[in-house]
Parts: sequence; structure tokens; C-alpha cells
Amino acid sequence: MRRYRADLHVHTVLSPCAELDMGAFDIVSRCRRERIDIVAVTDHNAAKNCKAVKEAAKESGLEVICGLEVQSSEDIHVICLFPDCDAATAFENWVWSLLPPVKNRPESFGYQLVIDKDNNIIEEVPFLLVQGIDATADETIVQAHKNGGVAVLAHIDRPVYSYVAVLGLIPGNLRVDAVELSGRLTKKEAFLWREKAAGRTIIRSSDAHRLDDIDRGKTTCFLLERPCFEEIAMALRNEAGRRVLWPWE
Amino acid sequence: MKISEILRQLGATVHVTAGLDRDVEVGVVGDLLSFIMGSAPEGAVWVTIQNHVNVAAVAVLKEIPLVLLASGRTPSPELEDHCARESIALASTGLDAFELCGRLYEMGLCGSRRS
Repeated sequence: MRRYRADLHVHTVLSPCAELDMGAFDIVSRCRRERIDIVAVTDHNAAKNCKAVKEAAKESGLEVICGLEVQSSEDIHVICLFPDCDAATAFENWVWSLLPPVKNRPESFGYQLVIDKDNNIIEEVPFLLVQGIDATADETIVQAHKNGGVAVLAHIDRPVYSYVAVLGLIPGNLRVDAVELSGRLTKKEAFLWREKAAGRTIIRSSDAHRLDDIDRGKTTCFLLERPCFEEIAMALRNEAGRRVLWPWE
Repeated sequence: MKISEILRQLGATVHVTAGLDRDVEVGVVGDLLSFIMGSAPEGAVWVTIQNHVNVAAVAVLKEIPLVLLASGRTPSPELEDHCARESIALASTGLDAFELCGRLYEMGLCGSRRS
């Protein structure tokens, strides 16, 4: 068992609110520079750029996890991670079937670019990705599990788009695999949130929308046998010696 | 004003009929539960489109006797159960939150600032 640095919440140029410097190779090289071992690609309601980053990371030593950041009907953000691109795509199909048919206006919201590993633009997603889908956060978590994934409540410390802000508290029986705290929290703030999280696994992520946001200081250390989805899922559930280390130690 | 009278005047669909003879004078509107937890006056009628089960927990915390779901939102079965268990009246209406608050104001209810 050894320590692996993971950032399980990073956007690409597919997210309209992300900067255009979030290309495939660019994310990979920035992660390596920050000595990050595992990165999860989590665009808003979409998984289409996971493949590009995964391919760009080949032989770089960086492990890329396929995921999405779903926005629920209550405007709660849930990070959903999957074993491979196919599972993420199957889940993305479910998400897109529930997305309201509102067109993106790139001049207002930003571009939504699907790219390949060399940052060539393959297509622009025409409908707006940053909207609540027609499923609740609780339903989203159930569906992520059905598709073989894990679900993490995103940035629960924030005043918007967080489970706690919208729904007040996390029900004890909610089958979420972990909760995420923002990388910018101080040690003291994070400690207060740890008490509120009442024993749930806590991770720290960057939620990077531009390259400079990717920062070793906004990651989480995992104790794993190998850097892969299955081991991460075990660590989130604290199984077989795999575990998540407290990020603000 | 009695809760039963408010519900009668609104023509609301009543899902949980607990404590209908209680009096209320204050109202609050909002869908972010953390905001309601922080700002709702105790004993207020709560107008919301949020139908998650946690609504019941927040209502208990703020001693809210009546939750009114606006815009045709119906309660989840879990929310109905919890409200029944905690003796919180629960009703829904096709009126949107703006219209609903207007009607409540006309009935003499007010927001926290004037209470």
C-alpha cells in the first residue's frame, strides 16, 4: 500500500465556465508538475472529454478517472465517477435524457468544446450543460451506483450548488460514498466541516476551471495498492485497508 | 389566523392534517433549506417548492406549523410521513410562490420584519 495524490474534480473546455487553457495535454502536464498521481475529469453534466484526457495521459504516469459533475433538479452538484469511459458514457446518456432543451449561448455562458487528445475540436455541444437535470440529487446518487460508479457530494461548504446549502443537512441514510470540501478552506474551517460531516469520508479537490487552479495543496492523499477507480472506490468506503487521509493534516 | 382557515381560503390540497387549529401570524418563503434554517421566524408558515424529506427536519427545528408547497409541487411520500410523525401540517397548491405569498399577505400574515 502506498500514498497517491488525487484531485477528483477537474473541469475541461467542455464546461462553459472553464477557461480555454483546460485542454487535454495541458491538464496532464500541469497535474504531473504538481506531482498529482490521479485526476478525475468531471465536466458539468458531461463526460465527453474524459477520453481525450485519458489518451493524452498515456505513458505520463497520470491515472485519469472518468466522471461528471451532475447538477440535480435542486441545483445540487454531485461528482459521479466511473470505472471506465463506457460506464461514464452510459451514465451521461441518462443525464442528457433529463437535461432541459435550452440552447447554449457561448457569448454569455462560454464554449462547450469536445476535444481529442491533441486539443482538436471535434464538436460543440449545442445545448446548455450548466442546468439542473430532471432528477434529484438523491436519485442521481442511486443512478450513479446502478451504472457501477461512486457518488461524492461536491463542495458541501459552499453557499450555492451544495447539498448542505440547498437541503440543510445530509440525511444519515443517504448512500453517498464521500463528501468533498473546497481546496481553499483553512485547516480550522475544514475541521469544523469534519464535525458536521459526522463520520463520512471527506476528500479535498480543486474544482479547477483553469490550469492555475490545479494545485497539489488542493488534493487528497489516498492509501491504495494501485492508482485506479476500483481502489479509490474501496478507499472512499474504507475497505480492506484502503483509505483516505485527512487532507488538512 | 387559524391554519384550517388559511387552507380553506387558498383551496389548497391538504396532505397532512396535523394541528389545523393552530394560529399563525408570520410567513417565510424560500427553497434553500440552509437559508430557512438561518432566517425563518419561529412559528411561520413556510412557502416553498422544495419537496425533499429534509423540509420536515427544518420545519421541526424552526417550529413551523404549516408547509405550503407552491407551483403544483407535491410532497414525496417520505416528506408526508415525516410531517405526519412530527405533527406538521402539509398542503400544496397550483399557485406559484409569488401569488401564494400575496394571498397570505392579504389574509393578514406578514414577514419577519414586521412581526
